Amino acid sequence: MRKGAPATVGAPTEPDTQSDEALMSAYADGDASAFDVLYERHKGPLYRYFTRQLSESEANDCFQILWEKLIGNRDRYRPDSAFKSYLFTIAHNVLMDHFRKLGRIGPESDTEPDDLSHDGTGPAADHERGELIGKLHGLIRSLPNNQREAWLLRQETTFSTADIARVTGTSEEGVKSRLRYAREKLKQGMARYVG
Amino acid sequence: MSDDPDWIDELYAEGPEALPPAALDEKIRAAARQPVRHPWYRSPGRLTALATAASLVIAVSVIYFEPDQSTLEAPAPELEPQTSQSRDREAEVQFDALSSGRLEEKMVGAAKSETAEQKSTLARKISNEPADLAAGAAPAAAPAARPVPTAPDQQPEPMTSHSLRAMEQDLSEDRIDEALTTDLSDQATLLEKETAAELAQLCGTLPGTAETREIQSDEAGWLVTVTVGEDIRTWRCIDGAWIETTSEQ
Repeated sequence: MRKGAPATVGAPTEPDTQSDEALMSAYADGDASAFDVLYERHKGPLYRYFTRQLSESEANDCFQILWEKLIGNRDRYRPDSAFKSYLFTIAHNVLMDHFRKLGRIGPESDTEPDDLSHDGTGPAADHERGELIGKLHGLIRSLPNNQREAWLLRQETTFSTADIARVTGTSEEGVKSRLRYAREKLKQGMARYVG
Repeated sequence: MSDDPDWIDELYAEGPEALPPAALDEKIRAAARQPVRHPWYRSPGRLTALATAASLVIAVSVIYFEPDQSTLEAPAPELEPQTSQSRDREAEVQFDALSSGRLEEKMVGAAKSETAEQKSTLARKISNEPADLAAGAAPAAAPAARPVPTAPDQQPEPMTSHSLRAMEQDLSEDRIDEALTTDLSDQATLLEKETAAELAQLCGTLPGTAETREIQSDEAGWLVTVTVGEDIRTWRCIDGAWIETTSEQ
């Protein structure tokens, strides 16, 4: 239990305006409503972080494991570290564990070109925006794991390159490289649909 | 659209807001309301009990193993502080005793009583020894008086008739008297040497030599008599110096 952490949920300050760190400290001190606020804030990006990389059932499992880990280790959280980085670091570890279980983890080249013709639908005449988004999601899924994760973290969070490097346990240069290749591949893949 | 470098990001942002199913939401929220379950050693109640038990054990250990307070407080006799005043007084008493001859008498008396005690002890030994030897159970008969120097697993050597005879000769009355007389004269010589050394410290080099002088004490103090042939001279230790008192005798 962190005594120094502000536990002011229910006080004049509204929980919604409190920082993630203060809310997590309050939750660790026994305030369950603080967790609800945190959950509402982060469930979308985290869920998408999983669903863009896994099947729906796998994503549901990983999403649940992530929150259970956070709940079980609530008294280990230190308010001096950014909560969002902490949360996504757990998410990254859960995802890596899942890939490890499936045998889908291994050395992945940042430079090797990938075949992005993912779903076999081929160039479709339908240029409706919704369909384009669906194609994009399909292309994202076909990216190498490390490029896809870096790109999704950039899209779903406000993380800087340094933050992504910290969460994924790589160097900033490595993250920049992954982001660059991911973007290039997605653009190339989408080019055939947008003409 | 393809010319815009961020069009991919924009397209992705326009995508549907994927959210977890409501059932999963509820499951996670319910898990979050569960109290924290610490391992047994981290639960507050157990921890308190553990700490109390440890404190009790330490307290009992301290009381049980605490050394006697008087032993801690009383300094060892040799370490007892001695003031310069008490040291001076002790030196004065010693000097008085030395100059009046009481010390010599005391030392001679102590030597004599010690010698008498030794003699009686030896006599008791002599009277007991033959019986013990005859019984062949000497160590058991007087265990306290005669400690057995052998190791527990080491058996004493059996006594031969030769060693028994040698022991009997050593314990004969004449040999004991001779030994005691030698011992007594040795002690007297030693005592005289010590007295001469102490007097030399008090008044300087003693007159005469060890062979020609005789140290005595009387009511007036120490008296050194030097006899060379028929010439007899006497000195007394007065105020830290030897003063010849031959004419006074």
